[in-house]
Amino acid sequence: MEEHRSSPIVRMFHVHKNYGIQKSLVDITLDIYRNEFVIITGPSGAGKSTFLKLLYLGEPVTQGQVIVDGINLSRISRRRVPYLRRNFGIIFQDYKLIPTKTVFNNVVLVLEAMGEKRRLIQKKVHSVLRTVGMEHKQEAFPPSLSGGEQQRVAVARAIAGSPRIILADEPTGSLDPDSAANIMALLKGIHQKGATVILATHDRMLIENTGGRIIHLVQGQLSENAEDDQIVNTP
Amino acid sequence: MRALRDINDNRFLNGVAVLTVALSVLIAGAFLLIWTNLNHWMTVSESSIRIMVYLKEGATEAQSQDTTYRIQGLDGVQKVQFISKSQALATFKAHLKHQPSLIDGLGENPLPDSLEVELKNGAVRLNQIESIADQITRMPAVESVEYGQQWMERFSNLLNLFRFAGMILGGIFFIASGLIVANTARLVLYSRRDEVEVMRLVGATDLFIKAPFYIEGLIQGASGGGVGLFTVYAAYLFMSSKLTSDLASGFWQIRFLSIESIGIIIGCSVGIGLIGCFLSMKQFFRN
Repeated sequence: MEEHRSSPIVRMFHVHKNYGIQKSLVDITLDIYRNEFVIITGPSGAGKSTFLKLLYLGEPVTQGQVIVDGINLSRISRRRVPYLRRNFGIIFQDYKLIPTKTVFNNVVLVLEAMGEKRRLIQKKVHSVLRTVGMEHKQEAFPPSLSGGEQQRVAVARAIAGSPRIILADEPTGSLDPDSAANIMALLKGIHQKGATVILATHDRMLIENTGGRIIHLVQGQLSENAEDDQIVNTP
Repeated sequence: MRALRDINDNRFLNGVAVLTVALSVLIAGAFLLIWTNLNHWMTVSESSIRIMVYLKEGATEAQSQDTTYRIQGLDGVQKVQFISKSQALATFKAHLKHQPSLIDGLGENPLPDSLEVELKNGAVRLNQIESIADQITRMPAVESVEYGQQWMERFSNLLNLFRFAGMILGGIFFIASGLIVANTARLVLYSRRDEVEVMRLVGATDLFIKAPFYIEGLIQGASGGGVGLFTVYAAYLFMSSKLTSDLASGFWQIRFLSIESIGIIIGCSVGIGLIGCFLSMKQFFRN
C-alpha cells in the first residue's frame, strides 16, 4: 500500500459543489492512489454520484481544486475535456447503453471515439466481450438482455479503451445478488490488472464483501465516524 | 459510414429534407431555365435586328446618299442598304403573290424610299439600338424609324420581372429548405441525445460527434439539388421535344442551364444542407 500512496492519481483540495443553494459536497480534501480500490459510500443524497461527476467533469466544481493524473481540472480547456475523459471508464447504474446499437457496436463506439484503427477495434472488442462473458451475445441489442448482461456490456465498454481509472456509480444497484457478484468479480479483476477503481455504492453487503478503502460521505462531507482511510482486507 | 447508417435509420426525416431542397431547386431552376432562354432569345433577336429608316417623301438622291453616309458613320452600324420605293413595292408584291387583287387596288406606289440598317453582330444591346435610332431620327431627310422598339422594351421588362420573381421565390424556398434541414438535424439529434451523451462521456470530441450530422446535411443538400435539377432537366426535355415539333423551323430552340448555373445550384443546395446542420448543432450543443 505504501508504494501506491507515493503516487496519487486523484487529488482533491477543499472541494465544494453546490447546486443553487443546495450544498452537495462540502470541503472535501483527499487523495486516491494509483491502483487503489476505493468505495465511496453513504446514504442516498450524500453526494456520491456528484463526487464521481467532478472527476470526469460531468459537473464543474464550485470551489476548490481537483487534480486527475496531474491535470488541474479547473484549468483544463473545453477542447481538452474529451481527452481527459479517455482516462476513465464509467459504469452507471442504468447502464447507459445505446438501445439501437448491438452489443458489439456499443463497445465499438468507445474505440471509434478514441480514434483507434478499425482492425484493432475488432480485436479489442472481441477481447473485452470475452472478458465479461458476453461474446456470444455480441449481435444482440441491449433491450433484449437481462440487467446483469447489460451491466456486463457496460463494463466491457468501460474497459475497452484501457482506462487508468474505472468509475462505477451504483453498478449493482439494479441487479440481483448473483449478477451483482458477477459484476464485482469483474471489477476486482480489472483492479488486479492495474486500474484504479472508484466505486460509489450504499449497498452494505457489497461494502463488507469488497476489499479496499472506504470513503464515507454524509450530507456531502467526509464522515469522521467512518474512517476515511479504513482498509478492509481483500477477501 | 456512421452518416450513411444514420440516414438509413432516419429515412423519413431525411426524405422530407431532400424533397424540400429538391422543391426549392426545382422552383429556382425552372425560373432560371426560363430566364436563360428568354435572355438568349432576346440576345439573338437583338443581334439580328435591323433598323428600317423611312425617308421623307420627295427626298433627293443626294439627301438619301448623305443620310446613308451619316448612318454608316454611327458606332455599332455594320451596313446600310438603300431600298428604293419601287424595290420595296416589288418585294411587297413578291410576298403577296397569292393575293394580287390587294396590290392591284393600290394605284400609285404608296411606299417610301428606305434604308435598311444592319447592326454589328453582338455589339448591340437594346439601349445602344435606341441610341442609334434616336440619332437617325434627328437626321433631316428621315421621316421615321422602326425597329420593334415597343415589343423589345416589353420583353426586356418581362425578363427583369422573371429574374426578380425567380430570385425572390428561389430565395424563400432555399431559406425554407435550410430551416427544414436544420429541423431534421435537430429531430435526429434529440432522438439520439442519449447516444450523444454517451459519446461525450467516453471521450468523443465534438468533431467526432458532429461530423456525421454535417455529412448527412451535405448528402441531403446534394441529393436534393440533384433530384431538383433532374426534374428540371426532365421538364426541359419534354418542353424541348414539344416545341421542336410545334415549331419545326427551329426558330425557338430551348437551351438547358449552363454548367456554371448547375454548379451554383448544387453549391447552394449543399450550402443549405450544411448551414441547416450548423444552426441546429449550435443550438443543441449550447443546451
